[in-house]
Amino acid sequence: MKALGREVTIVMVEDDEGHARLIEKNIRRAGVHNEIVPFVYGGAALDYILGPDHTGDGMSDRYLLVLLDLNLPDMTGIDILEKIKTNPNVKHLPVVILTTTDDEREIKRCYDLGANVYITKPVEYESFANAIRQLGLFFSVIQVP
Amino acid sequence: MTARTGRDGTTTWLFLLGAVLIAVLASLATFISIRAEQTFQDIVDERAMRRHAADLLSVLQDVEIGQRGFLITLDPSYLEPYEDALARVPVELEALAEDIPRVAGELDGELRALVGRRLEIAAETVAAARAGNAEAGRAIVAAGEGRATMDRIRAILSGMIEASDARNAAAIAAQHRLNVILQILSVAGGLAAIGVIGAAVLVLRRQIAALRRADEDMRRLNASLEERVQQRTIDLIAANQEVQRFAYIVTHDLRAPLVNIMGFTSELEAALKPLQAYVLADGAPVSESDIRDARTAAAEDLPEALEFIRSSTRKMDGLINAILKISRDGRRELRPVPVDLEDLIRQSLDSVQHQIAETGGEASMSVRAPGIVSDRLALEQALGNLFDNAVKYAKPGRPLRLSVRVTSEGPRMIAIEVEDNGRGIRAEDHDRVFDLFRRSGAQDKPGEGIGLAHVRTLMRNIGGEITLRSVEGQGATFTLHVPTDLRRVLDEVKA
Repeated sequence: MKALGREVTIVMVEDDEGHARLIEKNIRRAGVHNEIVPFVYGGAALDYILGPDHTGDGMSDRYLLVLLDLNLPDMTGIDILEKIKTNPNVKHLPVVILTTTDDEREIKRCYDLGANVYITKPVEYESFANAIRQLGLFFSVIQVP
Repeated sequence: MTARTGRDGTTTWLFLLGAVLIAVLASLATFISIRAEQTFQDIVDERAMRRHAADLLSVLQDVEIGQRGFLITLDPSYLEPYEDALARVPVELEALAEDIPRVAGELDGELRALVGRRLEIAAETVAAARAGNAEAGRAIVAAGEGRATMDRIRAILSGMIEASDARNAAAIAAQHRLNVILQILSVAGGLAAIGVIGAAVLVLRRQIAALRRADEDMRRLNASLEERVQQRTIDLIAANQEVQRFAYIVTHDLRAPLVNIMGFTSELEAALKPLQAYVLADGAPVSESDIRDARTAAAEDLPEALEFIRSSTRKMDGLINAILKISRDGRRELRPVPVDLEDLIRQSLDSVQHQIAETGGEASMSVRAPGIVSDRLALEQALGNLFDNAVKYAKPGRPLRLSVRVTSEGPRMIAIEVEDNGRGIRAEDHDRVFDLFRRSGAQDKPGEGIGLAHVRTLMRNIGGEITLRSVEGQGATFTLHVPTDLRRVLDEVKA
């Protein structure tokens, strides 16, 4: 998967090791072979996306896709989403919310903040695999400016 | 209710007393006026008797004058008044006789006899003079019987008049005394009436004031009731929101391992296929890639899936245990006992003293509030958790300063402030840290995100609350707001 001829890096912010492994396996099974950079903590992920000073300076020319879990041990995914989408340098990065809850208010909140896709992690494995495969389709249609 | 009846009784008694006073005064006045009338009648009677006595004397004197005039002059013109007076004597005597029984018993028989005698003497002298024997008549006069009789009559009548005057004076004096008594009674009655009316007015005013107060109390109670209902409603809404948040967290956190269990069960299934293809080939030719897939499945996929299933199951068990622990805290029966806060805090500090000393830090405390009645175990656990956190999240390289302050927070609450100079908590996480399974900041210390949620449950159970002030990097101050009397809280919950 490329954007303007450059490889897209997948940033996966997921504290549950099992979920991270399942997501990775299914992404690979869907035929996506981009580099996946995993983060367990929101703080470290923000360091990576916005730079160590969290200003986003000099980070605008990277091609990242953010897979974001909402419930992280050190901060909420909502905080991370807000920080990304309010930073002029990185707000163009597509963000996919991947979480276990399907609370309507939360889904609306995420879209309001600028989330591109919201995917619920279902308990039934088949639908989970489907969701990830859809994510693969999403990968193939994203346009990174 | 009892007080009101008492006041009503007082009023009734006061009015009854007033009525009795007025009745007594009225009957006394009636009695005295009857007495006065009687006295007046007595005086009138006495006067009549006195006049009749005087008239009798005067008529007798007229008789005497006529008699003597005639005897001296023998002029018959003197006989005219003599005859007139003589005719009037019986009339006056009878008038007096009629009066006397009314005022002083029977007419003295002596008087009647004396009057008869005096008239006889006069008649004798006059008869003698008429017969031409004036000397004989004069001799009778000179004998002095007539004068003596007349003196006696005069004395008796004067005695009667004097006695009558004395009786009159006594009656008037008695009447005067009665009048004085009546005046005194009138004044006293007037004063008593004023007193009774005044007391009645006072009692009435007091009753009106009491009624007004009761009315105000009622209004105030109503207002405070509304306030309490409103406060309870707010509390209820807050509690409801918290239950929803709790449910959200629990479902999310329980679902996470479930996603793994289901996911890796399917992975197991997927890994089973190449294995089956190899093991159940039954002599059929097996390709190189089949063998490679079977090996990968056996060596990597199967153990990995099993490991994730096992760890997720364990995690789920841990979560359920944590929820149980919190729920058990909520159901534990609270035991309100007098708690010496200084003693309690010192004991809790002792258990972390060693760790604080290791960082070169120190703990201090000041207790400026009276002892409270609360659940000792809940306070002990809450303080223990906060102190453990202070030690655990001390800023590396900075000696820990832990200070505990107890102050009064109004009449019904105290505040236990636990301040540290540790790494602090980001402003965004000030609410979140009290949620179950949620932690803040760098995850460089072991923990499950239960401690503060536990403390908050403990505090709410004893009618208190926990709040937090913190600047990231500088330290945190947790404040336990604790009711001074848990029994009252429990009573209110029951009511």
